[in-house]
Amino acid sequence: MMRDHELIEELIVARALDGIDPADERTLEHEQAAHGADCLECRRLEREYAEVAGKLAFAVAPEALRPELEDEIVGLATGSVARLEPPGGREPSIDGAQRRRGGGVLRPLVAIAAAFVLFVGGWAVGSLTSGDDATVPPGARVVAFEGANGKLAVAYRLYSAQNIVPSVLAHFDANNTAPMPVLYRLA
Amino acid sequence: MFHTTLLPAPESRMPEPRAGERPPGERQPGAQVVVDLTGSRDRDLVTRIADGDEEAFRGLFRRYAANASALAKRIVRQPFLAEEIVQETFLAVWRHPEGYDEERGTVKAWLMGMVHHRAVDLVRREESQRRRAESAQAQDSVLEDADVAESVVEELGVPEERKAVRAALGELPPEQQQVIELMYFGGLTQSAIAERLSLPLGTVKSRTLLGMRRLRTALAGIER
Repeated sequence: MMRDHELIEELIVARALDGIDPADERTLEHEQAAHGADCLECRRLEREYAEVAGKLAFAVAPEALRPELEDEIVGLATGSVARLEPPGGREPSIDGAQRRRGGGVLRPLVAIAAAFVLFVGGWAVGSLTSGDDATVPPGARVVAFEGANGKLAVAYRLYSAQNIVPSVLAHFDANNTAPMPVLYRLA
Repeated sequence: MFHTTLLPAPESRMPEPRAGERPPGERQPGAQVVVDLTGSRDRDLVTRIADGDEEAFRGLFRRYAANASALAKRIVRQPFLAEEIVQETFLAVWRHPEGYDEERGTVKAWLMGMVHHRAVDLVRREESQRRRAESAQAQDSVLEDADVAESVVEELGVPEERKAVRAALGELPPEQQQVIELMYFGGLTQSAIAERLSLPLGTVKSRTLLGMRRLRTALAGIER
């Protein structure tokens, strides 16, 4: 039995560090199933090495966070802020993350139909049409935009003397647009 | 015509404790008492989060988000991806606080485990990200990080724990430290480490086990 736990310990250590290979993961599951869910030694090893791995995280110096990050995440959690999903609703990935972001977390989703021309860095989108007169407010600063399948999403922030309004996302229908980059992130 | 303006870089700030709340990591006399209070407070926060307590959620965020972000950034090497991981992790805490099992460890370990798992998963899933992380990992050890963030560390009240963890890592035999760092901070599997270092897989496993046993002993009793 002791020998069995030595093998299990070796595998638990690798799993605690997220470094276990798939074949070893299966071996660990098999071994632990053989020991049973109530094996106190297995549970002790898992608990202790999870703690060690958790403490390793603190070897890295903590970093200051964006000022608005806390409110953004709380807003997303409590539902006061909607999350912008990338086209197709794919699961989070680097691409998805990049598409959704403008230097911060996902922005409030505000469906605005508008017509305007976007011109950034020498790249022209062309005329974008929709059925409403709403526009991006004066003074807004675009922080990111992305286009796909005739749709354009623009994230922008509003600035005033005292306030920086969290970024807002606007969706536009776009007709006859030139091929657009997947993402332009300006900040 | 709509003209864009480049945004200024956002100013950074540290998470601030609310009025009447003890700053993260602030100790009271009596180490054992601190250990108990720390774990107890974190568990209480998770319990309150399960009841939909927004302030508890903010409390947990302020306590660990900066560390979570640093860990994620260390692995994925891109700040905005690290932020995304932090966001997803805390949202997971809010939505599924029942995922925390007190019998399996502390809230801190649970939280950092989720951050780590997401970061490693992302690195392995994306080829370009993997190359970036591996390239960076090949060049540096976490112990070689310039301590430019000491003021931040001090403000968060975690210097003792950080020093203890770094000291414990530094006291490992270099070959054990190397495999643990490649695995934990580099996101590599044991077989990938064996390939990279041209070592038998069994050697990597034994070095990992021996190193982690040493760390377990060295870090026993170290708490925030």
